[in-house]
Amino acid sequence: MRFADYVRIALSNLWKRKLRTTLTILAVAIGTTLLALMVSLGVGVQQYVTGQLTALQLADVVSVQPESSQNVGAIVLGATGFGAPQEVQEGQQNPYVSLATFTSEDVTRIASVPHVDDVQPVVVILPRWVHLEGDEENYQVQLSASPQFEIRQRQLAAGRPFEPGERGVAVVAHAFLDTWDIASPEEALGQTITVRVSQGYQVNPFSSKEPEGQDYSFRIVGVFAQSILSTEVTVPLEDGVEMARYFNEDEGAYTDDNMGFALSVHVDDPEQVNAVARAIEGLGDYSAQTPEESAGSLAGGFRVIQAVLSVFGLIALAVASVGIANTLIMAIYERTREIGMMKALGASKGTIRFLFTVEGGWIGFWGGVVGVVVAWISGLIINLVSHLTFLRDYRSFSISAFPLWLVLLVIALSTLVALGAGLLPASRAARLDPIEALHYE
Amino acid sequence: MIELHQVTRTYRLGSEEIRALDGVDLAVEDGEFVSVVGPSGSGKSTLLHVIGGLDTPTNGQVVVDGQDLGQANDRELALYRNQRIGFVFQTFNLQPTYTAVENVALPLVFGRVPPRERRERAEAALQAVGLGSRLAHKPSQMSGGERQRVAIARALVADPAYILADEPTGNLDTATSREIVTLLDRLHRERGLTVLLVTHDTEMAALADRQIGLRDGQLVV
Repeated sequence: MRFADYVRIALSNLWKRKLRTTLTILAVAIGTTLLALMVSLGVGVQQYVTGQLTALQLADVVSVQPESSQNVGAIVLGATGFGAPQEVQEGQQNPYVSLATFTSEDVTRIASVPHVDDVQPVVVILPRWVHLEGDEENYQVQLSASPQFEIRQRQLAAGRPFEPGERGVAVVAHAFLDTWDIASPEEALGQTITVRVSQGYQVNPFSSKEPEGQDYSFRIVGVFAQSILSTEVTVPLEDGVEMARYFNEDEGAYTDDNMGFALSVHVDDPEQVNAVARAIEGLGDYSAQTPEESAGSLAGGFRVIQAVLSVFGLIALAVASVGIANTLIMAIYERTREIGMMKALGASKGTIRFLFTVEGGWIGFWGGVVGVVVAWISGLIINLVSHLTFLRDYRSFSISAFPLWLVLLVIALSTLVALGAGLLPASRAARLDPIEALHYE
Repeated sequence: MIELHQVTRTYRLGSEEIRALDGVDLAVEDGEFVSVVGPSGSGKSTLLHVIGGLDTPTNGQVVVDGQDLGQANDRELALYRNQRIGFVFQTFNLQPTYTAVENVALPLVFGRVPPRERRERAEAALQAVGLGSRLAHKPSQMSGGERQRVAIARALVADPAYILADEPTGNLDTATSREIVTLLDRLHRERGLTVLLVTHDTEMAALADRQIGLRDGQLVV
């Protein structure tokens, strides 16, 4: 028998039992819809986040952290009351978290690596709020203190980055425009914002007293292009250091002995980031990450989420494959005489076996196609609804994405699973004794 | 030519052993029209099945045109049924969802004949049995006699040398039965086909060149 005839006859055999075939296809489609939709959501989020991060993370910046000498898992176990109690060092601020810090010596060593042209501390401040002059409310803010080499490369919707040595200026996230009822990015330029910084991490849940703090004023000189960092306000590194010293109640913060928990290293040639990162690690107790590595570890996390979600789809597909086997076995009973007749007319065991296998494959194929179409439509609806509601400001972000490889993968997988499910019924059909089959009522 | 040497076929039905064929020696020359008569359960159908390669003897040899069927594997037997044998059954065994042409073309599908040629040959076979005007009809739209003609056209379509007809008139009235047997006789004469006709109807059997009788799996002359 020719392959085209197998495909055609298998399809017409299935079509004879429209309702049953449709129901079986539906069962497969439930599995493939779930699978396709889950993977597509994963792909969408991953594409967006890695896209954003690659845009935010600059190609010529390596981030360096001390290679933690303490076992984080042991700390967590100790802190939660499990595992061995951990020693608390004299002067350790938080007995449950221990972070090593850099010194100016480290900075000098790292700066001496070839192709490194600047090393700056990563400054961490958690302000209470940001306030626009003339506005009533205070808002949450994520404050970054950026060295020149970083702010220079960021994408802006309006304005300019700050100049070397410039103080008291800020670039704000695009999302603040809506919050502050500012019609266009250009109108924000020149306005003044105040950032309130209180001392320490305010985590006492029993206190309702407004803590004391110090206010810092900035003139807006730029507005970032839209991104996932929707509450970002970036100020010059020098301003950040000043705020951080107050925040930490430590005039020595970001000086010789204490350069913070992380360093930002500027490389003069983007081609050399990998070499520089490895060279820094070669110096000793440092862990260095290139932008690609940071994005990659994030993508790895998304792959795990995707895999977990896909398992549900795979389980549904496995259940459906039992349904396929059942449908085909029913078909054998119904078509026993027909199988006998086909053998009498010259069909070999192999012919019958392959014919039934192809019938199973067809069910899987159509189940895959229906599943992908339903998932694709659901994805469009999810995108549409999300753009009208919680993702109003991120029209460029589609939660559900359907690259061609996903479409082909899902259809191929469900066809393959169905072909497998068809093997047992098919070999049963092939083994039927033609004489008994011909007399079967 | 068909040669049977001491062919025995036994079945086990519970604890009982049934001898459907019991040491049959038979030779059928090319171009003969032989009828096989006998009461039901005498082994007539089993005889056709072992000659047609649908069943294998427990003992003995079936040799057709020098080919020992006992030595053939499943694929070779399938090819043999497809190319050399045309089966006609009492219950027609047509595909209800296929048209006459599609039913007749089915052996050519198994024989890997291209679609266009399949159609031409199926139409020609239907012309030969006098159904040139019923090509697109489905079995449900045809009378019993017409259905059996479709089945005969299907048996002819691959140009086999042997037609094995198992009670082809069993479900038909006397007049139609006579038409069918006459048709087989005409095909035998015009095309030189070797026809084995199994029947329990002595009147139909009498139309053949030669009659052989079977009783309890043994030949009676």
